[in-house]
Amino acid sequence: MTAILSVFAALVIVLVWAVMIYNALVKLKNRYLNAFSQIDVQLTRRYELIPNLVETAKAYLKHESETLQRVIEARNTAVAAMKTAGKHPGDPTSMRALAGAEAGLGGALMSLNAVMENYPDLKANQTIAQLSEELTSTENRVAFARQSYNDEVMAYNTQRQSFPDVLLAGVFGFSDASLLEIPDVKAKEPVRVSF
Amino acid sequence: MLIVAYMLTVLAVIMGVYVACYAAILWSNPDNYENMPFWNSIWLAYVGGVTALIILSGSIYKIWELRRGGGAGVAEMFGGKRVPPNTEDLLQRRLLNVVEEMAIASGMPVPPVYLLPENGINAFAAGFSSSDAVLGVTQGAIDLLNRDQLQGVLGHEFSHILNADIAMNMRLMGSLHGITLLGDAGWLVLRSMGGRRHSGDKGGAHPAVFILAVILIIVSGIGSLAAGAIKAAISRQREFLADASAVQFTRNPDGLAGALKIIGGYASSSSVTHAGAAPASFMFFGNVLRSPLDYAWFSTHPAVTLRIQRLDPSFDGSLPPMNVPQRARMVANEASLGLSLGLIGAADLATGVTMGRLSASEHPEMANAAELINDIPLQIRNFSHDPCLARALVYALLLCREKDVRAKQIQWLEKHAEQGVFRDLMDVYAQMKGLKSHLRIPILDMCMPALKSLSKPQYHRFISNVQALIRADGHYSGFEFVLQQILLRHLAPAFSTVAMPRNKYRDMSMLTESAVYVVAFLACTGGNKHPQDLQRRIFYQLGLDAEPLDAEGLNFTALGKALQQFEEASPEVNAMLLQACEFCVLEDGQVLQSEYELLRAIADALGHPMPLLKPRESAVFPQ
Repeated sequence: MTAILSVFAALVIVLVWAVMIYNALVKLKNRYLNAFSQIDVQLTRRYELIPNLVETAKAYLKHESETLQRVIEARNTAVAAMKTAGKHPGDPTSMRALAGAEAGLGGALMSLNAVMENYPDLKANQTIAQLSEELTSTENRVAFARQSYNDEVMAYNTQRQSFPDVLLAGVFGFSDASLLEIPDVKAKEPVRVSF
Repeated sequence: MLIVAYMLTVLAVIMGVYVACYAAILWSNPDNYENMPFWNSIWLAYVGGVTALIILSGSIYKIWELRRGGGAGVAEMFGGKRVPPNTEDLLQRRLLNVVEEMAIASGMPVPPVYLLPENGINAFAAGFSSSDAVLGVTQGAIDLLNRDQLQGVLGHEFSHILNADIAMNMRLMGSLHGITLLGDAGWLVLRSMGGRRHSGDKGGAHPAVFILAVILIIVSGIGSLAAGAIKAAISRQREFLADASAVQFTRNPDGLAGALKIIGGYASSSSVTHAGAAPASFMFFGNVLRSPLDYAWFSTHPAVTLRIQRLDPSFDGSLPPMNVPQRARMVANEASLGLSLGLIGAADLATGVTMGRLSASEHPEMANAAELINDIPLQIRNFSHDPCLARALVYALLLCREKDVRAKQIQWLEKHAEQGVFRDLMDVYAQMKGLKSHLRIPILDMCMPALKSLSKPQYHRFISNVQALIRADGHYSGFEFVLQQILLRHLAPAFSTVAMPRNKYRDMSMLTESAVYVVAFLACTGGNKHPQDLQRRIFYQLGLDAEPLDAEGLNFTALGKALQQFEEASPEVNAMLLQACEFCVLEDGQVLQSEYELLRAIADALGHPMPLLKPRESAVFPQ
């Protein structure tokens, strides 16, 4: 009798312990998934702004169709990468693809900016000014959302790799999540602060 | 009542487990029958102790977990995903707008909203208090209910939050968990045995353990069923009550009745398929399980037809089946029409229509809220939905009017705020010029869901910046106090363990010193000519034996500390103090805006949210 009871009690303790670990990991995973939806919202807004910018700039940049084409292509690649990443946030391959596509888009926008410097008329255009302002501010928000996501991923990974969670994380199917790190194409240029 | 039922259930389960153990031992040594009387007090103590320990620890663990996760943890348990506060999806935007209006109307911070990927039409509210409360809505509900109906359903859920039903639900969920845990343990044993059987391993005690496991499952099943029947009886009554309050709240019985009719005529009804939802059926708007026995003992909700009849006496009981695609198209059209006029993020057309149809006098709270929201510039409303900009918005609210102090504050933020936020700050500040001061608190309330989606490091940085901004001028103003109270009180639960409501102080006299301080503060700062007399009168009414305080030496820091004491007081004590505070403010016939904001912060701290008022004339809120 005593033996059965003690086996039973031990079983229950192990069970409760496993459930605790499982629940803690689920909670942290949900947190980073939620944080990713912020990146989704901000990037989508950015992707919607870019065609507008290109469309308005087209009238002025007749001889720069290649640059414009590159921006559109980079944007489309990024949209596709975002869609894939949105299905599996934290998955290393899709996160790397998204980071690469975002870096590409940043580069294309940079060269567009450089080209636009040569067209004073274009720079004076009200719509263009508004759109680039909106783009810069969205970029700030993307950076912010990314930081929030990375914070949550870090918290999750730390928990997952710590003892004793690491023993059970694999059994429950929790794998490490991947950070979203977009190489900063304009590291040399400080963020514009104008007021 | 509930506690007695719970105790009886636990006792029954202990007996069941005892019988199970007896049978198991008998099975393993059938020859030993003679030496084994059925009643053995030592064994009973053993079995009872271990079983009670398991149930108790299961319940304690669950309550601990619920406190850590708060309402958000429950929503995730049901498979919910948080709706981004700045979503651009039409139907989600409309949902968030409705929630925002209802929260402002009831004087609560706007709760985060979760979406459940379910076809059925259902909703729930979860959390221990309005600070960690979240709302959950199914995809089916936002696809198939029009704005008025959605408002009716959410009004029902808001009344659960305001009546503190949600805290009781959380406790119920925790206590029941211990009993179901026993059954889970039984299943685990069975499964692990099944595995070993296949590998041909024959351990000695197997048949006994097998019987033990099966009986455990049965006992725990019966236990939770018994608890469930009692829980259901209580829940059904509260559902009627919540329906009635929802109507009182929205002043529109057609909305809620319409939603129930849609559910009644819908093939998926109000079902929720996620495994986590069934044991917590009592938390939902409608029945989670589809059962033909709609008004059976174990149903947590009254029958849909019965609920409609109470709202709409002319209802003839017919629920025509709904054409789902057609209905979804109609709802989507309404939403896009409503939102296109006010752009994304505005209180949409449908509100305007509703408000126009019902005059403000018969629809005071909702009309007030919609008007208040409409008075806030669209740009700022959009800012409040964005986690990044919401922070800038709060910083901007705290920037001082005096240039020198402001320069100091900006300097601090340049160094300590994230550079993106700092950049947005100037943009936001420019937009806020000329903002009417009575809109500051509703703006703060609207920022809550966005601020709750910060990461922990971002949150800590944000709070330390807010505190630095408040300290910058060396003076703790009324607005700063109110802002800090609301922020800390309502944001903290999203980032740490939720405090359980405790009823440590059941009598006002146990908190004499704090009550005196709160009353004296209001009496002395409200411009009353005879604050001492006013205090004496109130103390007499409250039954407090105390001397009135002087205006000198009263400060907000001590007021905050005094209010903190009431977190552990019973709801009755808090209601009494709030009544005294209201009396104190209204006594001289004029309500200053600062007084009103302070009263609202006190009401908030006492756990009785107070609806926001729109100032009628400058006489009420002098500029």
